Amino acid sequence: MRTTLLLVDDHAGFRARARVMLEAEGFDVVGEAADGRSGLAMAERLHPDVALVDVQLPDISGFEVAAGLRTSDSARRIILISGRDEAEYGERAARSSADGFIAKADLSGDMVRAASG
Amino acid sequence: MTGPVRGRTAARHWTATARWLLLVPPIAMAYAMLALGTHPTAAENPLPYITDTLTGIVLTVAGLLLWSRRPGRRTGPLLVAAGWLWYVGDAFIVAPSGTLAPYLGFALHGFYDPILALVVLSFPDDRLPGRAERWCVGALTALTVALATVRLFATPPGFGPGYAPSDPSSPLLVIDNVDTALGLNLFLRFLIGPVMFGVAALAVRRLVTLRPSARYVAAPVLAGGAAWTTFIAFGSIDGFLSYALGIPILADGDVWNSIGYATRVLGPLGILLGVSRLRDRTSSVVEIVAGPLGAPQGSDLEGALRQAFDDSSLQLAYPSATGWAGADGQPVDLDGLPPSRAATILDSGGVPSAAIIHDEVLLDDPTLVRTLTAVVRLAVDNERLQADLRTQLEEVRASRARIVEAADAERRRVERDLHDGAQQRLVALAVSLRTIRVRLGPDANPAALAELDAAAVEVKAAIDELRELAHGLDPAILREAGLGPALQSLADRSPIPVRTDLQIDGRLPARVETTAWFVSAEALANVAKHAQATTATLTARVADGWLRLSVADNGVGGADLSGSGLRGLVDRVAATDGMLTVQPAPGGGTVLAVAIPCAS
Repeated sequence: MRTTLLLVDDHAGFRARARVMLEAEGFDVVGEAADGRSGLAMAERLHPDVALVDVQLPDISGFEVAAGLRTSDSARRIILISGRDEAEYGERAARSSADGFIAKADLSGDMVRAASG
Repeated sequence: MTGPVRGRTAARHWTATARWLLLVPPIAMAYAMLALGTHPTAAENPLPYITDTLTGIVLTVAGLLLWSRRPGRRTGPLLVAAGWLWYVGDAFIVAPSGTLAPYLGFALHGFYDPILALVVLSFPDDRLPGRAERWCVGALTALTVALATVRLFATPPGFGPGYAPSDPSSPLLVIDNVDTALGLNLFLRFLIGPVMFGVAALAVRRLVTLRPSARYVAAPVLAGGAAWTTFIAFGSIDGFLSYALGIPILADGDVWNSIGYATRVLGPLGILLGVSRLRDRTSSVVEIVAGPLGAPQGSDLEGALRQAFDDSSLQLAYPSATGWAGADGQPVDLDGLPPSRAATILDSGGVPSAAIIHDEVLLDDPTLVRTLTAVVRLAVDNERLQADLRTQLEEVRASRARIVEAADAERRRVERDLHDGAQQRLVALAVSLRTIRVRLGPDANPAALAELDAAAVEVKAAIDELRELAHGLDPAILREAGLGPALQSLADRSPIPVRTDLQIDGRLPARVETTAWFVSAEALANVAKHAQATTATLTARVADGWLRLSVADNGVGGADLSGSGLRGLVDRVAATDGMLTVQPAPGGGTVLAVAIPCAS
């Protein structure tokens, strides 16, 4: 059974290419959301195995989405992604509810698997 | 402008200096009297004779002092004239006997009495305060004119310049009847006595009612003048009673001689002491505006003027929304001033700019009023110019802060554009390359796979470079986590090892955090590029409302603020009202230190 994955990112171009790449790498991308609140609602409905959440979203931050997902237990694993590197978010990324952090440029199926344990 | 002012000042200085030459005739006369020793009283009472002889010099000195400290007033020159007149009565010592000169001198000699009364009663304001004073001086002048006339035209033997019965008669003698001449002479001298008593009484009354601020200056003059005029009064009455009626009211003993001698010495000295205590008000005023701290303002100016003009109730008022207000902001009613107060209004371009409320006595001295208004106008203009300067400086400061703010906003916009635009496209490209790589599978053409991997590496490098560029423009960590973590991140990214000591609790104002971060980033970049250092230390702490930050290195040193990079940092720090310094480190290298106020 393929790992289900929810993609939360406001850049449509990135989402489209990430979906293609992740599906090619064996993931089942069950949903895409362009902002944090839509992502939370979608996760409640879809209960994905992995939620890939961009840190910078137009409405609420990826940290807040991660906290919401953790509270509602609507995603098994939460991974933050960003165009910036992890160090730029300092301890906040480490202290967040997410299970891991991947720079978008490094995104791959293997990285997602490694980060989601 | 400067030339003529300097010229006038120099001319005034020379005039004031040359004025002291007026001391030469009294000194010459005193020398002649003391050296010749032919005066009848010289042998009888040598000490009183000497002090009496020097009195004219004392009066002249007092007059010259008064003249220089109150230029334009009549009392200075009059007192000098009194000093000269003191000696003309003794002209008989040097003038040929039987000529008019000794009698002319003797007649004029008496005029020092009304001058003395005028100086004493009008000191220090040069203004006779009331009708009684004016009457006394007027009466004394009239009696002196009469006495001078008698001395010229009806001199009885023994009442001439030499006080000797053997003196030759005046060449102008008209009344040669001895009894008539004697009677006229003694009667006039007798009348002078009560008037002099009046002068003494008025001086004492003024002494008692003096304002405390004026007592220091006026008391010696009034006391000395009162004692002296009392002595003259007694002398006049005693002379009349003893000569005309044969009833001396004063014992011709030691006590009287001692009192008489004391008053003759203390009178002129009191006048000299009082005059010497007079401040040169023009100099005081110049000191006000040209003092080391510049022209005082507001209540300080008021206090300085009160002191300079001996007027403790002097007040400054400025136009307000409702009329006039004092330096303390309280309303001032210029129309409701008591009669003893006067208001001088200054205008600037026809618009009232200030009002000086002062003793109306000042109006008697136009020079002083001109000086006062010039000083206040200068101070008011100075205050206005300083206020304008402060406003302009504040505008410049605000404008600089706005420029920095605008530059920061622009930097944030560019960072956002990079992040959301080019960087996202490159990230999408990297993901696409990864997809292609996955889809081609491991059995694809090795050369194509190698090319694909190389392209992926290039794209990744481009993303990293773009990210570094964006990070330098507006680091997300600064916005997200604050200055402490942002500085730590800076240190971690530095190509040379950086030791940190960061004591920053919580967040600081955004402007402070951004400035501190940029300064640190620039300083660490400079250390890495130019200092040839092997290590650096970044410290930052917040205490007493200030953020103090320093970047020290162990490099070759030589950094200075004239470089454009550091100059830009100085400007940036100054825009936050902070300071930046660059100094050599004790063991070599450079310390860049910054202090920025951060109290919210």
